[in-house]
Amino acid sequence: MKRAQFKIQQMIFVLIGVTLFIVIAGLFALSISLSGIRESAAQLDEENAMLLAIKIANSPEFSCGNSFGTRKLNCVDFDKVFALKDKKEYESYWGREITNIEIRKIFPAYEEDVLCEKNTYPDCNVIRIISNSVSGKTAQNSPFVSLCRKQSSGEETSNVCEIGIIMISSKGVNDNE
Amino acid sequence: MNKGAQEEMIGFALIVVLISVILLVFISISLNNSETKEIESYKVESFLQALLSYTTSCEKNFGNLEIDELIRSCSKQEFCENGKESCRVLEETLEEILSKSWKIENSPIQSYNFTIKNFGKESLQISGGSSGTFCKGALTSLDSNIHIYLKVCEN
Repeated sequence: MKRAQFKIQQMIFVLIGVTLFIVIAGLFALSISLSGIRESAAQLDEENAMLLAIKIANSPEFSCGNSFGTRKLNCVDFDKVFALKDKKEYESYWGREITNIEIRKIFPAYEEDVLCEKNTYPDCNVIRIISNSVSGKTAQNSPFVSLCRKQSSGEETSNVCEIGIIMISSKGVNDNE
Repeated sequence: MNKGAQEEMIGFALIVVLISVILLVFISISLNNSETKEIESYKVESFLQALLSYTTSCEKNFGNLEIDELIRSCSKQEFCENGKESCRVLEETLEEILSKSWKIENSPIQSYNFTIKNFGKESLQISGGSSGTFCKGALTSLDSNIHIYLKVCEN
């Protein structure tokens, strides 16, 4: 009987040991797999913001259409956007979540930011559609766009296309509505 | 205590230690995988599209050529109306645009590599910075013979 009891005790210790080992290994594996979830969520947020910027850049209000030769993708008509700026009718057009749309000329580069106003256009590099102040959260990765406009020299009109980025600012999670 | 039982306990402990070591080695190998991963990036692709439409200073046929037209002009070894080689204007313009658009100083970007291939041969290459573990690339073609590739690497 003593031998049998000893064997049972032995088996219990083995089972407890194996269970503990499996639990610890499982917790370890789980902590490694879950550590990437926050990064994935942040990456998804950035991708969504970029897709939204692309959608806005290709919308009829921004898009070049066929005005600058053959239809270009991600082409923003700078003249059209400037005309749209500060239009009260479009204040709520972009959705409640979007606090501002900024188009920034990347090349030719400017040493200092020059906001596009009536007295500076087209020699300016920053145009803000909804308001001149920046609020909300802006995505880190913004898509590049062609910024095209018409340029007159004497009797001739030519197309000038430059390189810019379109940045969408939206209400953050902690912002008060 | 029974010697057999002691041997069994030691054997079990050895197996647990062996499996733990193997598991740790496997995990450390998978976590230390620092191969450069290259993925498609819409940001890089959108840059290439915007770049090809950029209006350059090279005048030809009473208008300024865009980058895609300048690349074709360069492939035919043509000249701009001011006498400058179209290839030279192309190289200078691209160098300036790439350095201003993909700034390496004080940014996560570590390097960029821009290549134009004409009939399979590299006709122009512009690069900046060095290394970078996480790379994004995009490829576009003007026609069946001219291919443009841009790779941007970050940390």
